[in-house]
Amino acid sequence: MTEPKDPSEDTLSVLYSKRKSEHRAPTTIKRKVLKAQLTENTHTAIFNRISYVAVAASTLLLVGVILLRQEQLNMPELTYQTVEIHSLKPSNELSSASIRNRYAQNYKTYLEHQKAFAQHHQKHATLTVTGKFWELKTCDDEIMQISEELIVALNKIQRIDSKLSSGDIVQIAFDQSGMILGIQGSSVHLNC
Amino acid sequence: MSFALTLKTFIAGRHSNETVMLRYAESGDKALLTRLYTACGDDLYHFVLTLSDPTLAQDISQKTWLKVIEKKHLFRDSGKFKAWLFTLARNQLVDELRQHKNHSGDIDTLIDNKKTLDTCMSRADIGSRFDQALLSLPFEQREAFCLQQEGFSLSDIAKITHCGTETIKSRLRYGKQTLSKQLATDLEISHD
Repeated sequence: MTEPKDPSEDTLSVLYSKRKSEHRAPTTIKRKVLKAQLTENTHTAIFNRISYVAVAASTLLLVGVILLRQEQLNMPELTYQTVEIHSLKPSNELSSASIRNRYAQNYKTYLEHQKAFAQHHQKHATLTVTGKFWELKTCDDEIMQISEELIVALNKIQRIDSKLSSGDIVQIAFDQSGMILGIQGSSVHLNC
Repeated sequence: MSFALTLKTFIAGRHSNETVMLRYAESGDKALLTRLYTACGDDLYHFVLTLSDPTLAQDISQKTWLKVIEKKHLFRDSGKFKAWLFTLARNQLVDELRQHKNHSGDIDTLIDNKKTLDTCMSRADIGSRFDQALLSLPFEQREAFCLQQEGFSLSDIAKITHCGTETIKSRLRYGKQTLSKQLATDLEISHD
């Protein structure tokens, strides 16, 4: 009886390699895998594109918000002037009825507020003569327009300094209801 | 001489599966995937085929490569690409076999069916006898033997199969003994 032959590890390896070479992977696997890769690439490309668009949009939005905010910060401080009309003319002679009413109302409110103020208080202002009107500008950016009639009326009762000219500093005297009682020249220097 | 060796190492490193896989993970380039498939596609299919049947092997191979595409970012530079690939395939195969086991009993039963089919093959050449002997091995021994033939070290096989090194040694020893005995017996019979 012969001894069974003991194939060496090399033989097993050779046989294994031979078997492997006889059982190659079907080409369908490769084809399907590469097709899947192509789909993956397409999806990735779409996703990347969406990401880029989203990032770009976000950046634009951010820049827009920053610019807008900066613009708001750089905007000059809003200033306004209060214009009061002092006139002897009846209120119905003013050009616009709505403006007249509004100013009359505001003037009334203003005078009411002034009641709490000192009964005889005075203000200093800079005089500007413009045609028929006098304009008195205070340091509070308050401009008082004095009509010709009022000037004549005050002049008659000698409550106005006739030597006043444009650019002079004047002292305005009010009564307790806020009506102008007199305008006199002043030596006080205004530091507005 | 030293320069040539360095150059050779550099070129080999540049074209190793690991480098190609890392480049593929970064770029998703189809050509790189093709290179990886060309390098490991047949090995993987043969490994899975030896542990299952052609239909399942094709299915598992395809799923494994799709997983490579899907999970390419998970591949780490420290690991070997082929070991990672075989681990993915082996895990999928075991999951699949467990599902089959739930439906149709034992894993060994499933594999025995295959063996029954394979016994119809011609016994004329040693290749066929090797096939018979290999397929008659228990699953774990066959798996360990295949992985060793694919060039994996004991520690690699242990990692892929989630077993200890000693267990793998033992499986390999028994597997090779069985193969050797089987082949020796067949050779003796054929000589008689």
